[in-house]
Amino acid sequence: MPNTPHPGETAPLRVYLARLEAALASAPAAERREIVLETQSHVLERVHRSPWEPVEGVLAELGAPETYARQFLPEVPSPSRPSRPGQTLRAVAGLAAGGWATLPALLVVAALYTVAVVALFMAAWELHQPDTVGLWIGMGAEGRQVLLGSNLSGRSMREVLGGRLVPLALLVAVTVHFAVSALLRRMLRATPTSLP
Amino acid sequence: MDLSPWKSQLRKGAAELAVLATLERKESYGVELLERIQSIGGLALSDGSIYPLLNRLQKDGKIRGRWVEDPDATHPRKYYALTAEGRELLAEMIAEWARFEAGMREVLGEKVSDVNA
Repeated sequence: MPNTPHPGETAPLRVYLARLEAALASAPAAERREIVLETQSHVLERVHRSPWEPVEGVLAELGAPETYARQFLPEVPSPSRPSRPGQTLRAVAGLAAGGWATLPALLVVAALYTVAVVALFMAAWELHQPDTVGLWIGMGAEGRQVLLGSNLSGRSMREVLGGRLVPLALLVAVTVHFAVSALLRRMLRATPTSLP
Repeated sequence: MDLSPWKSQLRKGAAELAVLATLERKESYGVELLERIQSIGGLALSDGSIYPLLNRLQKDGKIRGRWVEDPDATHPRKYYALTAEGRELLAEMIAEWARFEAGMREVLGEKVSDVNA
């Protein structure tokens, strides 16, 4: 059996195969591998036969990887299956395989998750040492000052959030998670050529 | 009038028979099968639909696949051939097709010969 990746592979093909593999997550591993390898072989064969035809055109003939993958899977009665753990991770891996083309999307995902992690960290700190973290407001020499986080500098500032920091931080984290999931779903639904 | 849904249903059933009949003549890989079947008018089998069909036929034990490194290609190809069970299925499908064709000819009568004339 052949090994992946093939030297003739291009970025669009790599992204397509990564998305196909992610969409086939519910299929047995051996079958998933066969489908991905045969799809790779098909695209390389088409390009080999018509070198003037762009890879994107060959991929478009197969359809979006998620739609294509569904034809291999047994019919599922409900279109909205519950999401499995690791699905987001696999989607991000699919984007990462796109190289520079998908870098902006990866940066947005990374920035949003950093915000979520910081918010959760602050919530944990609030529970542990409630007097040292929060939203601080004070009057300094340069006028009104606002500080989110820990007032370690010892400036005379007043904390205004108190215990409300915990539910607020949880709300931020949950919102970020749903926003990223929705963003990834939209990107995965798009055709390979329309990826940013 | 839009005939596409009806045409697609008609071809779906015929595609399986066309694939099995083509494989009976010669062991083939996906693109080779596609080109042979697509070159025959009226049998539009798309790139995206042949592999799920081959996958299902293989899982059902009607065909078997093997990877071959052909000297004329830079990549391995998956060749398919009929199994004994596949040959039986093909024979039954051909018999059924003949009955179907005869029945339809009788129903449509001279209308079909008018189109062909």
